[in-house]
Formats: sequence, structure tokens, C-alpha cells
Amino acid sequence: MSKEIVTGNEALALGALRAGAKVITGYPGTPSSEAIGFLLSHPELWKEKGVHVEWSTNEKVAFEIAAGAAWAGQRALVTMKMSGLNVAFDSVISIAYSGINGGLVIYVADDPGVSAGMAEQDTRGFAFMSDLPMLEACSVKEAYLLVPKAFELSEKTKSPVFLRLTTAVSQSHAPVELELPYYLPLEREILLERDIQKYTKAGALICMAQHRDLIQRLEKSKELVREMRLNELSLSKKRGKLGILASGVSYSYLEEGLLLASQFGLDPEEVSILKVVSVNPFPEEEAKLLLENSELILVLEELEPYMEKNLILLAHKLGLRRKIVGKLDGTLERIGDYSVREVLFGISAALGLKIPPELFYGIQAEKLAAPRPITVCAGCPHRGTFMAINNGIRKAGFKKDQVMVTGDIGCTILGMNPPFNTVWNEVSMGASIGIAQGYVHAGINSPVIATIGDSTFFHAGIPPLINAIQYQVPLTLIVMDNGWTAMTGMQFNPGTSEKFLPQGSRRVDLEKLIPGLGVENFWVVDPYDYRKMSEIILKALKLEGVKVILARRECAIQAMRRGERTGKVQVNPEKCTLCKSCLTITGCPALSIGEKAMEIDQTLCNGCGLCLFTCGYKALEREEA
Amino acid sequence: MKAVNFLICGVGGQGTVVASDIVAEVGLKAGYHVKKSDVLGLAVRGGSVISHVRWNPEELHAPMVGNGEVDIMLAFEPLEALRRLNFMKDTGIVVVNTQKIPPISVNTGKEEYPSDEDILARLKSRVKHVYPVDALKKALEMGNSKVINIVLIGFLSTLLHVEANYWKEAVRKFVAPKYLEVNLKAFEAGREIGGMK
Repeated sequence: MSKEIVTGNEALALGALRAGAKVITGYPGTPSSEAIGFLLSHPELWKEKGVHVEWSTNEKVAFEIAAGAAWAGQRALVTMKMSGLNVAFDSVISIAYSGINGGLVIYVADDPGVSAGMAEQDTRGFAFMSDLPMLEACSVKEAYLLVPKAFELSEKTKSPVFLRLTTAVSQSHAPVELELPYYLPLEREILLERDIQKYTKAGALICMAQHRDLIQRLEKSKELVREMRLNELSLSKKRGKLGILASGVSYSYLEEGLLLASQFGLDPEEVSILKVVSVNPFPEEEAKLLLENSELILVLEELEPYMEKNLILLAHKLGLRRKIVGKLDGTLERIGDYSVREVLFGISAALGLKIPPELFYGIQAEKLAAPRPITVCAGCPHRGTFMAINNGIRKAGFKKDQVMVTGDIGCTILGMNPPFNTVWNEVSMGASIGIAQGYVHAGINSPVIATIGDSTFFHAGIPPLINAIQYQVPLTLIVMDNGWTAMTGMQFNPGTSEKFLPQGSRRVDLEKLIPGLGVENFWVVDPYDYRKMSEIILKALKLEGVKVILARRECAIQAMRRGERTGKVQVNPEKCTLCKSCLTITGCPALSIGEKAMEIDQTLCNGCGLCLFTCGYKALEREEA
Repeated sequence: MKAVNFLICGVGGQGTVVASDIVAEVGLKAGYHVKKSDVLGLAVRGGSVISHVRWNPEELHAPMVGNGEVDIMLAFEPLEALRRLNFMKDTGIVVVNTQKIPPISVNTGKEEYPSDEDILARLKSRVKHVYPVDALKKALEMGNSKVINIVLIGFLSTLLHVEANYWKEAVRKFVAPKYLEVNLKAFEAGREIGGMK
């Protein structure tokens, strides 16, 4: 045993190694990225043992690779954020019908409270939709312990199993007793099985038979989950008054909530608690005991009232009339994450305790402080692109609110914020290019621009570009290629320089790929070269058909980490009039307002020189590195 | 041993995560049960970031600290201290680095940055103790503006009854070996300011 402080994501990755996973794939997405990120930065844990770990092109590809390995009899883990499951789901549901051989665990991280900007989606719904088991951990320690159990359940039922964490677990740190050795290999034969009844979907008979098998597998998992004692029921010592059903991180807040409530009249010995770990199948036996033992029930779960609905249904089936307090009666919110406060509020509402409201609601401190919208980093090449788009639109004779600039996922969306206010919208990976075509067909008579980053383009931007090329839709696509999947924490992607890719990888060069699709008007330009970039955008806006600009320059943070600067920019205090144009146009975090002149933080500035183009007094001077 | 809830807040890129790693490590070494959670949002620099660290004599489950539950706030930026005031207990302590990082909304003239007096008054109206620390000035004296986090950690260490050695060990563990010396000096400088309070 080795006791170490790890994150939920790291615990999950370590749990998979301990369970003997042979193939581990995923696509970066906050709050799930550090699972694979951790493994890739610790190859000593798995590389020599024949384990394969990779960042795949997108979640669907990642899932299919893991599923292929599981069909071949090996244990496999695939990791993604909730939005990624939407991408992978087409294959997930098909594999759910077929079943698997080796254990297949799908780790998906939800983000209640939205730490990273995306729909506040509750992926538990996908488990019900696909009839697949889903387990959820309430703590970092439990995440580690649940992985081997998820594999066991997967193999015993021949079914993929979801393992869900939320941000408060996946990104929090806690000490965990890790078993040694970290990797426990499994001796598994490679399975090559030919059985079209199981592995194809051609024909109603095959599909409906598989659907029957799928439902039976979920039935079987009910028994197994009970045998494995995954859910925990503790009945009250005294006559049961309040029953609490809690799942996920809500359970971890319960202890403190009960302690606080006991100061206001709650008797903890009258409380029964059911911790739900198997979200699907719902633990009916334990829930039945909870219902029978309690006068009323409080349900604690973040986001959608799934457990609550299951409980109401069960109470109805059993003919038990119980007051159930949760979201459906309006007590608790479906929006946002929980803390001890929601637990306390729920208990107070259920039992009618007189708890002072200031215990639930702190003051709204946010309103006292000016907001801090995130912007691009000092030296970010995207700054040049946003400035050039704004300039190109102006030079083409349009106002900013006349030209649609669609946006996409990743750092490139930061063009939506001041000072640029360039990008109008953000949908999902790759959607900027499809949405742009919709605006064109809607009959807009001003130019349409789509913007997307390199990793997002590889992930899901190529099919909509093919569509635009096929129908020759007049639009300008700007692929902002900084060579990294930056926003999720600097993962490599197919376009990253080979210097930084795993050994034996080959870089896929967008400079060759895009013209290869049949784009005739194609330019590669350095976004630090503001004049050229603006000129090309202006030219593109006036041409017919599909135009693609590859704005290429490595992420400044990555370059700076290697100590690479492009130059040095300094303020000439004699010339600076403190007009602040440099700051209000570029928004660069390295610039600040000094007493007599602008100042530049040399630890942040990488010398990109974009601010020079904004100064009417030649007060900014740049030396080439 | 008494439970302590910390909130560490600042602007992305200021070194708040290393600070929270150190606070968690010290708690663990001092025999507490520890939980830590970094709420970083996105990897870009310049956003508002917070970390929760909890020291508890018994095993604890909740990774985050809720509204009104924080004993000590280590704020790397005054506006961020104001932004997170809702987390504070009224008996709590706020240590605030006086270095201002105006958000773009202030730089473009859309919003105002509150005055020093206003910030201090607002902080003092909510908590028992407020300690402004000019960590940037100290860091620049050391010749490295990046060590403000360790100056602040040095100051923080004087508010808690844990041996200085635990703190130094944790600094050793979490800063790059190349910069160890300047960081240890920064830690001592922070303690010195703490000694004068």
C-alpha cells in the first residue's frame, strides 16, 4: 500500500491500471482530462507492461478503440466529459446491444455548476436510454475502489459499464491507499469470435434479439450489484423518521449537513440513509427498506431528479404513501452543484426545522466585484486572428454587427469576449462550420466567417467542411492552428509537432489535408503578421466559394514554457501618451497602465508585437529575439 | 487540533495551485485529514480561480467548502478577495496580496476598480481580521515576481500552529528545484512580514 494525495481523475486512472486494463483511450475535456493526462506523464507505470494509452481524435473514435479491445477479450477504459458522450453515443448504444467480452468501462465526467462552460448535462439519462449499468463515486477514494468493481460487473454481465464522476470528485484531491504494484496484469487470450448474430445489426431479427439480451443483461446486473453490496443502506437506530437517499458527491456533504441540522432539533438516530452507487440499475430492494422504515424521504442528487422519480415509482408500486422531498416538489434546484447548504436546506424543509436562513444563503459577494471575463493569454496567436478579423470586416466595408462570425469550442471562443467581441456563438465541437452554412442558406447577403481551433477541427470539423466544399457554400473558414489542444490543459493532437508526439507517431498536416479536400482558395498565414492576415481576410471576404485560412502559430504558453520568445517589446515613456489604445484593442494581460506611461510585464510578454499595430505614437518598440 | 477551512483565490497564472498544494501537504504532514479541490475552469491565464483546502482532525468527506464556512482566505488579488467574500465566516481571516490585476472590463473603462480604502472597508465589514500583504514588492526584492505565492505562504504559516519545517518541506516538494533557493528566501520574507503583524 502506498498512501498518496491524488485527484479523482488520477484515482480513476490508477484504478484502471490496478484492474489490468490493457487499452485506455479518451479525448480531453474538463473535468475528465487528467485521467489520461496523468498516465501519459507517468509512462513508467504502464509502458513496459504492454498497456496502450492514447488521446484519440474524438470520443467516438476513442470509444470504438476501447470497444474493439473489449470485443477481443481485453479490459479497456475510455474517458470523456459529458459532451463527449454525446459524440460517442451512436457507437455506445450499438455496442450496448451486442455486449462485450473483456471488461469495458466508460468513464464520463459531468460538470454540475459548470466550471468549464458547456451544457449542464446529466449523463445519467444516457445510462437509462442505453440500458447500461452506471456506477457513481461520491469521493476520490471511492473512485479508485469502484474501477475494479465496474470491470467485474462489466465482465459478469457482458455489458459496458458507465462510471460517472462529477467535477467536485474528479478534480478534488484526497489521500488514497493505493495498492501495489500499481499495475496488475491479467493473462487474457486474444478472442477472435465470428458471430454475426452478436456483432452486426443487419436485420430486424438480429436487432430485436440483441435488444432482448440487453434488457436481460441489465436484469442480471441487478442481482450482481446486490451481491457486490455496492449500495449502502444504514437504517435508523430509533423509529425511523427521516429517510435520505443520496447519490454522488451529495452523499459526501451529508455528514456535515446532519451535524449542523442536529443543532436545530434533528435527531440523527431517527435518520436512515441509502447511498446509491448503482445509478442504473436502481437499488430497489434497499430503497424499499428505506421507504418502509421512514415517515418521509429526502432525495439528494445534483441536476436531474432521476433517483427521485425512481423512488416515487417504487413507492407507487409498493403502495406506500410517503412524502418525498426533492426537486419535483420544488424544494431543491435542478440547476447548479450542491454543497452542505443544499443538504441542510433539504433536511430543514423535510422536517420543518427552524434553521436561520443565513446558514443557507451567504451574501452575494460576486455583485461587489467587477467581473473578470477570460481573455486570451499574453502572446496568444488568436489575438492576432481576432484583431485581423475585426480589421478585415471593417476594410470590406461592413460593420461588425453585419458579419456573422461563428465560433467553436476551445480557446478560439475567447474571441466572444471584450476587447474583441468578434465571435457570435458557440455550439459544439465542429459546429461553427455547419452553423455558418445555415446562415448562408438562410439568405444572408453579407459574408459569413467560421472560426475553429486545430484540435476541434480534427475532432469534428472535417465533415462539415466537406459538406461546404461539396455544395460550394460561400464562406470563409479560419482554422486557428496553435498546435495544441490548449484549453483543456495542453494535450497533443494529430497536428502537434512530431517533436512532442509519442514515439512512432506521424503528424497530420492541415496544410496538406485542407487543400486535399478540394479547397482552391487556401492561405497559410502567421497571425502575428497582422497586416498580412488582415489583407488575406479582406481578400477572402470578396471571393466566391469556400475559402480557408490556416492561421498558424504555436500556443504562446507552450513556447514560453520552453523559454522561446519571439522578441522583446518595450514602452518608450517619452512617446507614450497613455491613450491606452494598445490595451483597449489587444486586451493583452502583459500590458498595464503605469503612472506616466504604459508598462509591460516582461515575465508575461513574449514579444509578439501585436500591440505595435495599435499605437499611433510609435511608443512601443520591438526587438527581434 | 482544530479544523481549518482555507480558500485560496486569485487570477490564473499567479501560482495559486502550488500554494494550495503546499497548504494541503502541510496539513497532511501535521496529522490532519485533508481535502483539496482546485476550481480552475479553463486552462487559459487570467481568469478568476479558487482552491478549497480543508484540514480536519477526523476523516471528512466534503471536498468543497460552502458559503460562510471559510476560516482563512489567502487572496492573491484584492478584487478576487471581494469576489469570494461570501465564503467567509465572520470570525475569519483574510490575507490579501495588494497587487491589483485589473480585469479587461476595468481597462476598457466599462467597470471601475474599487479604491484601496473601499476594498479594505468592505473586507473589514465582513471578517474579523484583514491582513494586506505587499507580496509583489517582496517578490521583486528577491528578483523574481513569480514567488509571490511563496511570500504569501510564508505569511500564512505565521497564522497557524504548525512547525515551520513542515512548510519548508512542502515548499521544497512543490517548487521547481531550479528556483528552490529563491522560493525558500521568499518563504522567510513572508514569515518576516507575518512576524510584524
